[in-house]
Amino acid sequence: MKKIRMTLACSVICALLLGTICYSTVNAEGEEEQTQNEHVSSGNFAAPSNEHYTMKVAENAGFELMANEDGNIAVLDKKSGHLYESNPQEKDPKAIGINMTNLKSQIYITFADMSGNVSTKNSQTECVNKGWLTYSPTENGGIRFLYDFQGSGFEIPVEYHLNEKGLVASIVVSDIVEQKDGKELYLTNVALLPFFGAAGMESEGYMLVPDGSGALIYLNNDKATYGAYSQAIYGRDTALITEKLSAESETARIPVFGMKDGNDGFLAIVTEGDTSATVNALTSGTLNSYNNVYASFCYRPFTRTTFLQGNTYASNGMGGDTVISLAISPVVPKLDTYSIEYVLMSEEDLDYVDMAVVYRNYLKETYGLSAKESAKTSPFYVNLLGGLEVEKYILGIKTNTLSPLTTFSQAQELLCQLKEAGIDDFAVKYTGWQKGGLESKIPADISFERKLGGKSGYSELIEFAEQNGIELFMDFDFVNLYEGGNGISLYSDAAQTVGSTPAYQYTYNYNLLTKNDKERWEILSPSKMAKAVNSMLEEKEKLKGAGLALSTLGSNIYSDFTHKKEGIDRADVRTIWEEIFAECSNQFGQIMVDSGNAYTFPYVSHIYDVPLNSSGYDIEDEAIPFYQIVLHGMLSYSTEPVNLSATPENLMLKAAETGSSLSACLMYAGNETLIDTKYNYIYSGNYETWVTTLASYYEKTNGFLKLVAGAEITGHKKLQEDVYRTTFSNGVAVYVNYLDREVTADGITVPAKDFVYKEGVAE
Amino acid sequence: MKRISALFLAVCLIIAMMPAVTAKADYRYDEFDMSKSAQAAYVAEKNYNGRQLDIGDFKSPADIYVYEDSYIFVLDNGNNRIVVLNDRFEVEKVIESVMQGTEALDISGAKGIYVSPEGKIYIADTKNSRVIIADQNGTVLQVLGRPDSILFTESVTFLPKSVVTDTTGTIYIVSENSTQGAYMLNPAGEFLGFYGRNEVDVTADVLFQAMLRQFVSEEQRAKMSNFIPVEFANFDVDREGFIYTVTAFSSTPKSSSMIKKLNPLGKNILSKEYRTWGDEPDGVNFRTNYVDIAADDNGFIYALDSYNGRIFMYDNTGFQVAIFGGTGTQLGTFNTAAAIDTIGNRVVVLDSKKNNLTVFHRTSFGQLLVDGLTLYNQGRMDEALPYFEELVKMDANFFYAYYAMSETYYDMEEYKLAEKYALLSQQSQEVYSKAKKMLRNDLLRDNFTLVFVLVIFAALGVMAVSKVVAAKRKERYQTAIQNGKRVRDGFYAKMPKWKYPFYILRHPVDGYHEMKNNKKYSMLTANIILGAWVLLSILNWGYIDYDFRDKFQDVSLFQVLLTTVMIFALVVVANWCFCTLMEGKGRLPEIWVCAAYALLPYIICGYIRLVLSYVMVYDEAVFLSYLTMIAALWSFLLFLLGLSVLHDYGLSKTIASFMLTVFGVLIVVFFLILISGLIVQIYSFFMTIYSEIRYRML
Repeated sequence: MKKIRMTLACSVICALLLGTICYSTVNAEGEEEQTQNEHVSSGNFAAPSNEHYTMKVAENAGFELMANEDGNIAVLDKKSGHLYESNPQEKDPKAIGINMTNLKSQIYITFADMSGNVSTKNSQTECVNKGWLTYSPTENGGIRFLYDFQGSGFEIPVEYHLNEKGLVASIVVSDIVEQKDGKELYLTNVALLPFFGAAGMESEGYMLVPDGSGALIYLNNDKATYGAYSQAIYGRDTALITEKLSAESETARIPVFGMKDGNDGFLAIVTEGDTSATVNALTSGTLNSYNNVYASFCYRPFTRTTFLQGNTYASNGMGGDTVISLAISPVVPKLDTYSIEYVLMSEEDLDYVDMAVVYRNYLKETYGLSAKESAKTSPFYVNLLGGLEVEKYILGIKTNTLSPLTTFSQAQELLCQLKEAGIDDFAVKYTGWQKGGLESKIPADISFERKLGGKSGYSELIEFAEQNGIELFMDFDFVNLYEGGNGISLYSDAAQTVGSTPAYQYTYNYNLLTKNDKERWEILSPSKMAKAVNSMLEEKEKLKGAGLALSTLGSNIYSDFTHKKEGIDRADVRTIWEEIFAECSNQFGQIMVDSGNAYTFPYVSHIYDVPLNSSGYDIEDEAIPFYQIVLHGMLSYSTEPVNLSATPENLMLKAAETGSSLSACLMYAGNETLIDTKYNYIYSGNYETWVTTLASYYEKTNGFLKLVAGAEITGHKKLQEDVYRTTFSNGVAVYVNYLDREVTADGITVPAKDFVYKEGVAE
Repeated sequence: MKRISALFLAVCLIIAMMPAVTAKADYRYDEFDMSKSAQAAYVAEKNYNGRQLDIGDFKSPADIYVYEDSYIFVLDNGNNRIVVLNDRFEVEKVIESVMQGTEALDISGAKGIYVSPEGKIYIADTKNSRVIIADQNGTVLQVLGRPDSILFTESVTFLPKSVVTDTTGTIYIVSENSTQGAYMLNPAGEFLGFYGRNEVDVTADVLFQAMLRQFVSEEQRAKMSNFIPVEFANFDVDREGFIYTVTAFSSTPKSSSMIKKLNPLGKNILSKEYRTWGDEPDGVNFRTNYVDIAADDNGFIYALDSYNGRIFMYDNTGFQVAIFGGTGTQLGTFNTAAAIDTIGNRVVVLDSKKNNLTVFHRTSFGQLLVDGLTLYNQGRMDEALPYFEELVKMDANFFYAYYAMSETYYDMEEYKLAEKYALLSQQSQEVYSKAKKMLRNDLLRDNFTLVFVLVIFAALGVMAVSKVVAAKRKERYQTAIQNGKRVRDGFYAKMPKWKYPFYILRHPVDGYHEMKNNKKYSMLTANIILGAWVLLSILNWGYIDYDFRDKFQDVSLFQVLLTTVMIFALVVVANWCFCTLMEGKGRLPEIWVCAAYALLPYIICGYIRLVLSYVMVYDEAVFLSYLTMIAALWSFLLFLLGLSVLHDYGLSKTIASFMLTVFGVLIVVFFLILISGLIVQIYSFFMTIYSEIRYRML
């Protein structure tokens, strides 16, 4: 009996094993067949004009796209004869080990397992060398490479095709496969074409990176030891909690990067997936002999969690083993592709102004960006602070009372005084006017704070604004969720971070730069945003014709990493934000945002506090006003507030150089009101002390700004260290001297720390 | 316990990618050691590396020195050269090598450079144990080796890392591992002695060890750690010959002498009071590590912290006025900040890893700050005032300016303004008090007649009332005697319950006896007294006049209850527990009432102090603190007497029971602390498990 049972068991096991083996062989054969099929179909490509490549994928009036079986591609600019290659073809003696295969790769992938190991692999070692790369033609006349990272269980399809301006390269997100063959690995990051158009040691020119207003990294600047440039477009995802801040820096607000290699070069526009993109750049010298700039895309964001073992005392510094674990986003992007459009440019004296013009034209063609009415004005921007709820202890009992910073009637007085001092054109952003002030509920309902004057006070303010021709923008903060209400729940409508806790926002200690756990608040889930905004729009009559300011939506874009169906990746949030801006601009006409990200450009008419500088990374060589070159003449924008600036004199010069209006962040209450609040960085907001200074700055710049209002920037040049010239399409040129001594450049004498403008200049 | 704590206990989240988040760089500490945003006094202007200057990269440069406020000497020791820049940061000359005769000296291991007023270059060549003195062309004039003195044993190494001279030509050398202070040499290079030795900071630990030393054997003593003063990290000398020294770090950055300004006698002339040098420490995670110091012509001190790449700017009295810099890969941040000096209104910082110089220039705010504080510290306060007014207009968080303004306004007899700014400064109770006094005296003088009449009337009123009361009391007394009743002074048979505490106030033994005999305990009255106590604590915290206040943070009702009623309840319960065991007769409610009544003198006195705080100034009110003390003692005695009557105890038993009560309270408190610690641990244990489960369930 026993024997029979044993035999039976054995045979069952054998059968199972056999079955598995048979299945997998069949499967493997099937795959091989498929691969062969693809190879067969790829044979249809014609021979290209360059011997490194085996296939001519496509050709149009300007360009020829070619490729080879190793995944290398190249685009020939037929006019100039310049060949833009995905990977340098010469052997680089400097690049050894991984750096050698990196040079030959089209993508790098970064992935993580649950126990905290994060690794990066390149396509050359993982796919090409192992023969796991296949390709096929695409419907739009391009080519598709399928990178099969069998070692880690990923399939990443990459497509290339030509358009009339150059090359479009995309990662087909919708076809990305993860965890093939049961590998428990998660794709966190993909870098695309890291060496496209990379410039060698002999090249002269620069790389353009979108840091702040824009920055240049000179080719071969020998600064590679300072570390690579790497910056996320639109800043960090605020749904990921940061324990410690890095030092002060500007945010990248435009999804572009570029390369000038002699008279050839490109501007790369991240057209799809810009919200997931990070721009990276490194000069030659340390890893290899090339200067490269590229974008990588964050597929699944993650946070690293450290579980400390051992008691809490031992763990603070010395003993205590740590177990690192990753919390990986359960949400993946739903968009189709991550796409980069490489606009190939070969022209005499190619510079960053040409690149900015290309981007401006792209916005015009793709998003219908057009010159707004506001572009013809250069108002003085005032950000008025309404009220702030402060904690007070009355006889030992904590109470929240609203402390008015500027009431509706005080606002009138404040503006009157500025007007009397000589400022005649205003764009006013009124923040914190809702019930609850600066930290109100999500303003899905419109209600005016009673202590600021309530509904009637507001009516008077509107009347006053109309009579005096002041453009008033009432600010709505739909992002920061301080308390539930107006149909928004603090619990179910808040965005979550990875790990299913609310995505808390913190203030950070100034000394340690660590987060301050005592005070935290939440942010509204992006999937609930449209509903909240629409509910506000239904009540918009209450605003009696005032403009709309969406300060936080313009500068902040973030995910919701919840497991639930509301979970949404930042890559997909852009569409929501765009729809909101489109709807609001339909209904309001005029919209103002803070430090606008590129997705707001087509819809807004005013941008408050645009980046004027780069972060000054060590690897960078020069800051340029790329942002302003794109936008001048399209809409109106302002500098950071003059009254909070450490160097207001320089700010004024910068305003002239970039055609930016000046701004101020003001309140009626005394400066001491904010000392003990988290807004203590507004350390000189009281208007009284600033009226005459602001008026004098306005007077100094306004003549020039009015003159160039509406004109596009056609040229920008560094004439010498700290001396710049900007030319405008209406023939005005401004010479700005940041030095503390007089300078003569271009035959124009500019006094120390001053600017001079000239009309009738042709360029 | 141990097992539980050995499991996962703390969770912290670290973000994998370091995203670029903007943080404002400039801050200052307020009076409560909290960092607050500050308007920038200096902003980073530009970087200069060797290649930009067309002289090839610097190679791990160690030090810089600014000569005559116009030339920057860079000790580019990695390249064995000295680079001289002018004040426009152009290369003036490069001293390619330091030549002794025909031999080029190796200075690759040098750590310090100094140029004397007559132009001699001093190089502290650490590696080769010597100080090289050379002329402007790099020709060696003199080499100072290890000083010859009986003060040095063979084991003392001479590793000069920094060198300066004073106006008389005396040479001061800081040597690595030297805890004796700086070596002082005459111009000829002969050893004169040590200078400006650091003292050991007296901490509890040091005292304990010193005490322990008295009792241990010679052998054990040898094993104990020696408390030796810490060595200097670096120093600088200013125009007037003051030598500034800086010590790398201190376990007690508050009121220690990390930064010293030494006069020619080696005495530190910076006050120790109210100084925190560097950042507020945060356990082991955060500290300041000073590597260099510079003083500008106005006596402002700039100390460089390599740990966080920050520059701490102090005025010439050692008051912190600005903090800037940071670590990072951006302009104005450092990798390894190595040396600092000032040139005109600029600060130059050398980074020995980035191999570059960073130049910070003074902002208009910084200029106001320097000018204003210079005038102020020279005693020209009224001239400084407009500067301070401008400063607080630009930065409301600049508390030092408020302080200076309150003092200045006081001197100018603008007492209202002096009071206002003293309040804003958060630190100037003294000036507030002085100003309050002057204002009050003015008020009295201006309304003298009115005040005089009021006082007379008040006095007459009090006299009249007391006469009536006395008469009434006498009448009651007489009636009682006529009725043949047992009487005591002030006491009468039908006295309502609520009057007992006041009677007990004056006649404790009789009062408690009467109360006990007649069962006249009033819980309501007792609780009203306790309520008054709670109210008093709250008022003392936030509502007593500013100069009387000793706590400034907001207080919650819970905290107040914890420090008043909770302790009260604890004492009463503990007393009841022990006295029940010791055959005490008192019951719990009785003890409660008795103890509450005993508090009355203390509370009354507190309210008097509270009211008087608005009339009197702090100095005049010294007697009030004595009064409070006496009242507290009185309350204590009342409590003891009450207990003895209540429990029917004799003196010794009362005292014994009281001791036990105290003991009981301590035990309970101990257990509470233990339990709360345990609860916190259990809480964090479950929180960790909860969060880990959530992460794993992904």
